[in-house]
Amino acid sequence: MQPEEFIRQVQLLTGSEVKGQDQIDRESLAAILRDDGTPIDCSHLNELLLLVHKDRVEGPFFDHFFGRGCTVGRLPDCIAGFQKAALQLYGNFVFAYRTLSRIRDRREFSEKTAPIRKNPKSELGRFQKRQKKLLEIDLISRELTPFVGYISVRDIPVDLRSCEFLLTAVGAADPGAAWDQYVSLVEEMSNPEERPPLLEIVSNYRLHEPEANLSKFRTFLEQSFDTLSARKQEVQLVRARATKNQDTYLTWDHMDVYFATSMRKAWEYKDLYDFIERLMSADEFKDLDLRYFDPTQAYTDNRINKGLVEALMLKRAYCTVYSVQDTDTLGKDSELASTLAQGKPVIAFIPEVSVNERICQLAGEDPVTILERLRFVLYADEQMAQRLNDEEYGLVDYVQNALADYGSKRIWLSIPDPNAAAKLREDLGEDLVSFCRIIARAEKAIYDKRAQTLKDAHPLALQVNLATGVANGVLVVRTIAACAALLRRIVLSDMEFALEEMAGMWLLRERISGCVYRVVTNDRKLNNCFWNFYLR
Amino acid sequence: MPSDTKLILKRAVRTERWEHQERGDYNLDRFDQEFRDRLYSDRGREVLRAQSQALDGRNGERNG
Repeated sequence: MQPEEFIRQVQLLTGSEVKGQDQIDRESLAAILRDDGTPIDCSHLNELLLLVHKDRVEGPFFDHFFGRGCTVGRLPDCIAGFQKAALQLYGNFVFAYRTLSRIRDRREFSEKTAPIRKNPKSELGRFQKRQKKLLEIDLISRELTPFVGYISVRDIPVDLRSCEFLLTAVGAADPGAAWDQYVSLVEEMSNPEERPPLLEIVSNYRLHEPEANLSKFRTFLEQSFDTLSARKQEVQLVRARATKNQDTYLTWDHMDVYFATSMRKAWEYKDLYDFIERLMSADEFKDLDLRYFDPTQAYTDNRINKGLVEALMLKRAYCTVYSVQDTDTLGKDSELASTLAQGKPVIAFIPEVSVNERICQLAGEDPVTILERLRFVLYADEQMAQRLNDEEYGLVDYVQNALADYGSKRIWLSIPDPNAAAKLREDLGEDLVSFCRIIARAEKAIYDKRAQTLKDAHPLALQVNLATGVANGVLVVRTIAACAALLRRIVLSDMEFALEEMAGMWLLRERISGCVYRVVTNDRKLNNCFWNFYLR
Repeated sequence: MPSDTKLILKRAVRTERWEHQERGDYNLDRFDQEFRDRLYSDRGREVLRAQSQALDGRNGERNG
């Protein structure tokens, strides 16, 4: 190794310039460093450090970062190992060197470096030795998960009470009354603000049953009332189960993973259920029995308590998996920020959309859901409509009209009509497939852009552990397989990093996601101001 | 933005109504009750009350 290279390496080790270089005895340095195979022990390194005007190191530091087999040629690798540790522990090379190199007591050194010294095999053993849970979650099936939502279930009481109203009006009508007399009665008995949807139910029923009279309508309403009452009861039962699940989550002695998401529409619950189910059943977790908070399985009947429960879960979980959807929301973005601010890892899962597979999924969904998905992509990608050519625009216009028409002609919002949906699919045929292709392509564009933004562009994809000042970057993955592999490495403290220098900045890049996880900036002013508020 | 794009964006699936508004209270029974109260005019409430009383009366006779 040449003296100049050694001086450069020492600067990397200490995080500061080597001053007084004109007084360095380069000839002696060259003689010591001539042979890369020359062994270097702690006293050799200290003599070399003093030759270039730097502070010496104590035994625990040398043993951990350089070790017995150290040679002149291995010094750069050992110093890179120190840099990786410094990036993870302190986010600051100068402070890391000053702190760790001066520790004489081996136990104290072990304690200070404990977070990066965890052995994945021991961690695996720790998971395997953990006791089974006393209480398991009462798993709520995919189709019922929207019932734990706050907004997604309101259609049920809305339909139920509208049905009750219309039945009351039927009861008040003269026997054998005509439809126009009944409509007048509905108008008289209803609050003007709520009148249009009530009249819409009547007209939609008459559209479906043009020959029906009021007596037949009464029978229809009585049957609907029973169905809707049963559905409301089912919601209450699911919520009771989800409330119990919430209590179970609160009592678990371990909590490993938190799933951050935002769900309003029924399909958002089902999408998240599918993601969690596929991820957590991966082979990577078969031997771990991970405990995770699944928001599709929990319910709190109060926004204040809900916020507090989620805050507690974020504190307890070892890491957060952030499910990136079509739109950003305050809730899940806060959960991401809260996790990073605690210095814990965040995996952002952004699905890699396969357009052809997605077309099949979309085409099989309820027509109203397909239309809602179009609304979401239009909201998330304002360029979408402008990218459509004339033919595509005409198709979108035509199909969305047909879907909207289907939606507006439903009698009840909360009781699906599979026959009508099948007929619409048949009528639309290939046009529906083309429509779904346009949505799938837009979803792909949205997710690709979000991944790129979070990976390479957004300043807040890298936040700071508020207790230590160490930068903490979001880890973006695009497939369930990558998500499972990374999550396993996170919980077993087995993450792998590459050390990179980029225009004078030092980055620690996580290997599976390819994302920046830790950084040290080269901006002197920022460094000085920043660390004055964290390390003093 | 071209006018046709605006057209697509403007077309809402459903008109925003009282029941879609954000609430801090997630109690479904309370929502149910409040929505029920909103549906009826004064005349409608009278009819509802009369029908409920008649129903209670018939049930009372049957039980008595």
